[in-house]
Amino acid sequence: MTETLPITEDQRDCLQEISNVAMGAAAEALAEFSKVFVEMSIPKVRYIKPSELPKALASLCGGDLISGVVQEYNVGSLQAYALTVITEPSFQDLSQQTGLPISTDEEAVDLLKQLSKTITDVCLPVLAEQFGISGVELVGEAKAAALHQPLSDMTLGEISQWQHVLTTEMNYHLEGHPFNCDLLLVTPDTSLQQLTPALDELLK
Amino acid sequence: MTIPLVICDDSNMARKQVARSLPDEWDVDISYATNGVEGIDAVRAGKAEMLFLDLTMPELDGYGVLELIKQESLKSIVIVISGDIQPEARERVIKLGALEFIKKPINKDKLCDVLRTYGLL
Repeated sequence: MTETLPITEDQRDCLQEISNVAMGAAAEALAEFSKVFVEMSIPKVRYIKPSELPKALASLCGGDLISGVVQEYNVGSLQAYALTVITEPSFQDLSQQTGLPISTDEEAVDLLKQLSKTITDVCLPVLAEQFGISGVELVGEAKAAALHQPLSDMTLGEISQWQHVLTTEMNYHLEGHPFNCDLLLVTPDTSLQQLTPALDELLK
Repeated sequence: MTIPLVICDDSNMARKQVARSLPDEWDVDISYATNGVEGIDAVRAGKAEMLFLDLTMPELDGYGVLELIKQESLKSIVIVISGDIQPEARERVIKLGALEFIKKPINKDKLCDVLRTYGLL
């Protein structure tokens, strides 16, 4: 179950709104990558246990197999993970739209990484910029979290070590296409101490 | 003369940002709408000689509001204020009758420039 948010309604609204702006910028990058108009949705903020992470990807819960990659970031002093996840029908669709092959697992992971990079390279800096932070650093490389697997079988790696995580789900659809993709930003509860004052600053 | 103005956005913070970006000398009577349905109702009620409209909203999105304004031949000068910066999003709202598109986050300079450009200030 989604737990009560550890942030106030104003802070949640603020996080949702700055995520919306970051998402809009990323939509442009995704539209360029896929050559299709991107339908945006309202970002959804949740507070959950890492084991419940599939529930934070609610827009993908149609029973399809999924594939995804996870990339760790430092956004200023904030620790964040960007989890880019797509449904099985999205894979073929994206491969066709971009002309990038997915006949081997290696090619499939490469396409996932390119998709993740396309979205997060824009989304994270735009998010940070609104906090007045210019330093967005990649920590290590993007790792496969799932490849043609059920949502419940995702490999979460380091994300599993926290008690709770704050997640922001940003869902992207390609208009008239089966493509359905979630960018899930995951922040460990230990980063809330940095996040909440930053949100309060924006709310002033 | 006082201009009836509606700020339509599902985010409380975004509504405040828009309100704070209004030119100081501007004589407006502000109403707020928190989704597209409230937005179109305000337009129908004549509260929106000007409408500052977000796109991604629950109930009815900004495109839906623009379509209804067009369909019902309602009078409202609409400026879209959105984070969706796809060039096609801009083209679509202009085609649907919006006067201009302003990229979020909004600030006073951006808004005043647009208002001056169209002789609304």
